[in-house]
Amino acid sequence: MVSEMIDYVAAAIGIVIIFVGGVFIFGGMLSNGIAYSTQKNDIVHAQSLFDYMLLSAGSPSNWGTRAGDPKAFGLANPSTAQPYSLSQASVMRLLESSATFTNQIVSFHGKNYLNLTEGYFSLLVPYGSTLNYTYVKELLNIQGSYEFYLTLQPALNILVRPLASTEGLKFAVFVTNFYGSPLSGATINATLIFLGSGSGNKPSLIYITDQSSATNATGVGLLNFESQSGLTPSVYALLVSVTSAGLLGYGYYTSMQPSQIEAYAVVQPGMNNVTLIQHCALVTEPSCGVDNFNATSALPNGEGGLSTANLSCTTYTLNAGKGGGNGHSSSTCVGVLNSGFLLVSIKQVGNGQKSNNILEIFPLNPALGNLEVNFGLNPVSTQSVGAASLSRVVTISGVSYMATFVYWPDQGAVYGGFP
Amino acid sequence: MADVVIGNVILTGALAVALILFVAASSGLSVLYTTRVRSELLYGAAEDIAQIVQQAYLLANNSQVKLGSNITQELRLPYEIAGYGYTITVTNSPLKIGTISDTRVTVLTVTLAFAGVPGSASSSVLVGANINWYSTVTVYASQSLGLLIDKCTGVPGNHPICPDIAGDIGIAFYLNGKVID
Repeated sequence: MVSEMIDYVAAAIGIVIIFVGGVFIFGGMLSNGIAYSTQKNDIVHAQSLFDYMLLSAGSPSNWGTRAGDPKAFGLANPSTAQPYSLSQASVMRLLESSATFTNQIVSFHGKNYLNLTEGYFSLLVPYGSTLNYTYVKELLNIQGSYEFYLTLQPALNILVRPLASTEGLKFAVFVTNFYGSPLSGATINATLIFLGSGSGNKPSLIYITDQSSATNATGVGLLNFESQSGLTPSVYALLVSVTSAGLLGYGYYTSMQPSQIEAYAVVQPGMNNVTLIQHCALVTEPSCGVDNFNATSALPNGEGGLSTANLSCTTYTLNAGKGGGNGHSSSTCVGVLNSGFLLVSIKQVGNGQKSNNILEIFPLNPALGNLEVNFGLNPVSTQSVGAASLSRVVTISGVSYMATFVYWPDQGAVYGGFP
Repeated sequence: MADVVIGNVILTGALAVALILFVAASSGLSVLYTTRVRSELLYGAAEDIAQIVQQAYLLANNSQVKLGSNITQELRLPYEIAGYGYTITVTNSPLKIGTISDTRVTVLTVTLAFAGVPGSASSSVLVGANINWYSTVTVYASQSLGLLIDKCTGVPGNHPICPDIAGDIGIAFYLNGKVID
């Protein structure tokens, strides 16, 4: 009798458990359906925000060149009708606000600058024009617990490497797309920038020569400047533009090492002049002397090459003297620069540095320097929530970039969004 | 014999309780689910409409589009969502940052509401301050409902949905060849 009772009770409990379990499973299935629908709606909302950012210029439309905060946030270039063309000045403001650079503050002549120096490039931008993420969220009317992360990365990855020194002045150009796949049939236009032989304390003159090539099936193109004109310069830089399927990107190589940087360029976003300062104003290596220099602008000519012009500067001698009456602590060069490159030939004299001949290239625009922008809150946490991740190909000063926008409810860790 | 009867009574009672629990839970879940699904569907449709309006604005605001150009855009809306007809209301307001109104940015809010049953959802998109949303009334969704987008010339009376400011973008609902005001 007892065993029968136990059987009945066990059966009854079993039935209740099965029913209750069924209800929970059913509820879980329904929740998944609703979560899917919610995420789909989040994606639509993210598209709306992303397009607003990329297709409107913000207010004032030239906010990138001004010191204050914008009243409306948008990155489109107001001076072109081309959709998805971004303002280099606005992008520069975002670049300054990127987590990569926000801690690299240097002081010079009582003012603070952000040091955007990466590899061969030594750029400074005035500090104080960073954008606050929370303020931008307010401008985008992002309410509740939603967050976003915006990245701008070059759409083409271009790596330029010299062949073995025994091969002479020959280079291999490796071209891959945004996802790392080799691109065959890409057109390569290369400009070799080199120094002539200087005399005395004068800096060497800058010369350029062009060459074209194309990538093979493995995404590699070869350039041979020695065969072209028998060139064997010891100080040179190679500037490569690559076009493939309507995309444009830049790659570089220079015989100079980053440790040899002699000058820094101070760039004001959107301005057409640039101020040069000697490296000793910021660092003590390499040794300080007096830099005699000449400056040349190199602007894309629309046909894959560069047009060069000598630049007029306030002085052609730089030193690191900090005295108030020092007229050579900086030099401002004027020209249409923010859409191109500044080429500087430096001869350092004094303090035992007479033999130095340096060629520096300054891309005066974040896109030309392949700089990456990361703005917003990096999606990292401990639980799982879905993120809407969208991409668009955009252009910044003609250079193709991939804009990626991740948007998510900040209730935990993010999957399906940004790696 | 009595044991068997007691057992059957217990089992039957348990079954009845389980059945009631199951039916109650299923019913509760169904109501919740139906409400949420309707709400999400409505919200999704509101997002779609808001995005179409925003895209139309961004397109017309491009400097390549000449003053005086007008475009009609079919919305191709479903006439029912979850088996119910619905209405559309569009309002615009300046962006609020804290307590301050930012008049450089217009928040366009699209609100959809079921006709006959409770349920509504809103979606907001950002557009520039130069938008002039003309249709202030609530409209019933229909498959032939569309948008009329005008890039205003600034000439008074030239375009009915435009203010007298050149370069402003007038947008209105458009049904059977007529503007809804």
